[in-house]
Amino acid sequence: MNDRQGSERGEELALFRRLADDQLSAEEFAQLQQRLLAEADFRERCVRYLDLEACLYDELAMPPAAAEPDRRPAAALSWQSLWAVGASLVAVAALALLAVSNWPRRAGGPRPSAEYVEAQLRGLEVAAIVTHVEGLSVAGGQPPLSPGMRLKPGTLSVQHGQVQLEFLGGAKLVVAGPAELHILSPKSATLVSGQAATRVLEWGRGFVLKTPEAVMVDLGTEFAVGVDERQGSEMHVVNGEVEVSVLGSDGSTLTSELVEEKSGLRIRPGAQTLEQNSRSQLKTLKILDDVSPPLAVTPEYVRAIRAAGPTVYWRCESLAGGQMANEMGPQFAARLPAAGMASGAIQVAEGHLKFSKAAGPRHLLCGPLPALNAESFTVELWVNPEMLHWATLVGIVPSGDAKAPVHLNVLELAHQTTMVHQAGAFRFMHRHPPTGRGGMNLFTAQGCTPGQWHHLVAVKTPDDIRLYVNGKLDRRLEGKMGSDDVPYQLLIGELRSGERQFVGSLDELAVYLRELKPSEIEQHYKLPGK
Amino acid sequence: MTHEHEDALAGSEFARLLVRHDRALLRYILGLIPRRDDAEEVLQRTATVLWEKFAEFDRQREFLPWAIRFAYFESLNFRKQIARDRLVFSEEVMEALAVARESQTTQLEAQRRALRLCLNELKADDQALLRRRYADSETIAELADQKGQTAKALYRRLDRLREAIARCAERRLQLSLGEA
Repeated sequence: MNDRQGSERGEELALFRRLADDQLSAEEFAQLQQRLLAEADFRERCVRYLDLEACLYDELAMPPAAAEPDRRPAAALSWQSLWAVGASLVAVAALALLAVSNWPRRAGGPRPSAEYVEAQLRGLEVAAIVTHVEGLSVAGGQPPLSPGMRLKPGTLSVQHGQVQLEFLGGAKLVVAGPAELHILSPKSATLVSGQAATRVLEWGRGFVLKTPEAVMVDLGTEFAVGVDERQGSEMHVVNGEVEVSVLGSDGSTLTSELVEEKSGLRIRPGAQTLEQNSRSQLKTLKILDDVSPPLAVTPEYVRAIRAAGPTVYWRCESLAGGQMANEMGPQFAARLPAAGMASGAIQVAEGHLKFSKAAGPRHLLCGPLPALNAESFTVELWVNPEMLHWATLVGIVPSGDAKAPVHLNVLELAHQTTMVHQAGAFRFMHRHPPTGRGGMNLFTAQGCTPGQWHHLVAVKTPDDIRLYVNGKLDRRLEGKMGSDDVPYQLLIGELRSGERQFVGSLDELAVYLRELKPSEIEQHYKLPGK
Repeated sequence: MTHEHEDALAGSEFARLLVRHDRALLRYILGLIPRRDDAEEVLQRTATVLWEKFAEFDRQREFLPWAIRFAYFESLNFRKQIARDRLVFSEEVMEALAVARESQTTQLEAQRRALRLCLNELKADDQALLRRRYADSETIAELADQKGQTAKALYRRLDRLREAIARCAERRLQLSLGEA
């Protein structure tokens, strides 16, 4: 809205206010009536304004929740008692309090630094996960929002501090208070006010971020957005391209433009055009990929793992010469199978393995491990996914051909797969004899939280398979789980060559040729330093 | 069942329906008769007529649309009575406003929700001022006196608040219609 339009709108609102306050002169009233008859838009705006004034009175005139209304049940009243001599609207309003108890609670104390209100609709599914919070004040012993919280469509208000979300549709978004964000779906949101930065993941193309004035459709990018009631919407593309549409009053696109990297736009309220804006005034908001500190592995933990007698125990602290030593002996080191195999995509950092995306294959290989599947075995590890994606953490394949599309087991992060499961769930699959299809699957009841460390234990016995998360049994499937004396290899970090690459961190991998007991699993998870 | 018992049951049901919908009815009437005292008078008269006609109400249908029809005619009747004494919309304007309101049911509901969010955004002392003006019906003179301000300054502040609320609600309304 330009200045002239803003001024006209202000005058119109003043006219409606004076109408509501019964302050118009006869002449003004006559002119108003003429416009109401002649101009449909004006008439509609007048209707909305008068209703707004009425609602304002309702909202402000209702007493706060602490007040005790008359508790007589409405059913006990007869109409005569309503309309007795001297009965007034006050009596009716008091009765209304008995039936209408949805007065929003107004906090007497300070407003929370962030709050989330879920949309009141049935059947909504999780759209985003809180992955990081910063600068949120604590209330009642804990912050209002915390990493791991699953958010369905609703309103997120941040008074101060920052909240980072990962949308299940493939975007990371950080919003800095004061701001309000409407979470609409796994692939869309509206920034109502304040500032946000968005990075859309490769498989999340098409993520849509709306503002009051525009719609921004990602085309594989990172961009920053700011919304101000008077200034309108400003956006700046950090990486990639964004398609920006200016919306008309009916919500459809009026005009659109492709915005390239390092470029920016401004859309003013009520405007029908986009303004180039090379000087971004948006503050820099950093989207964090690595939000949790490294695992603080204590000597006590190491002793406990060793005492449990694994065949393989990789502490992930060195990959010198492309080899990761086995703490339990000279055999069964993990290795990069070919020199130069995307070597930069697997690194040791801060005492753990860090996996990045690579154009070609990159994994660690170990084996053959004889007698792995003779009876029972356990795979134990700590995993911190950088984002939600479909990725293999550990694959157990027949020795000899790592490219063969056959698996005995996979331990995976499952997201947007061809199977039915919670978004971001962990998966343990057992398939015997190892073929390319079928098998039995366990999926965790809840998805993981990107950026957080999770303790994961997969157990296979002749009679069942089990999956433990953070020390607790999450899923179990009973049945005949085939065993054999075939030597198997372990692939770490991807499924087959270049497929389902894991992006994130792994640490403290151990393989036992027995089933770990639940008490041991719980102990390993709870040991100090975790 | 005796007649008295039937009357009591009908009365309870009527009371329940009226209590549930009286705010919406008043909002409707205010859209035709913006002067609040007059609108409340019309609501009282409407409620009386509704009770008289309650036996004809089809319980299978929604109460509010049925009640609104009577509110409309009571508004017209009231208009005839007071038109000589004060400024009130002509019948033609009332009809046009009623039609315009009917076509905006969704927008008005969305605006109501938007208003709550806009009020939550106000500073605490602004909310308190509005509440005292609207809920407590304190006069501007009384409020000005308590705050040590001139009435004129207070009027301007209230007007600015109401304008800000209106603009906020309009903006959120447009936004919600765009998200739908």
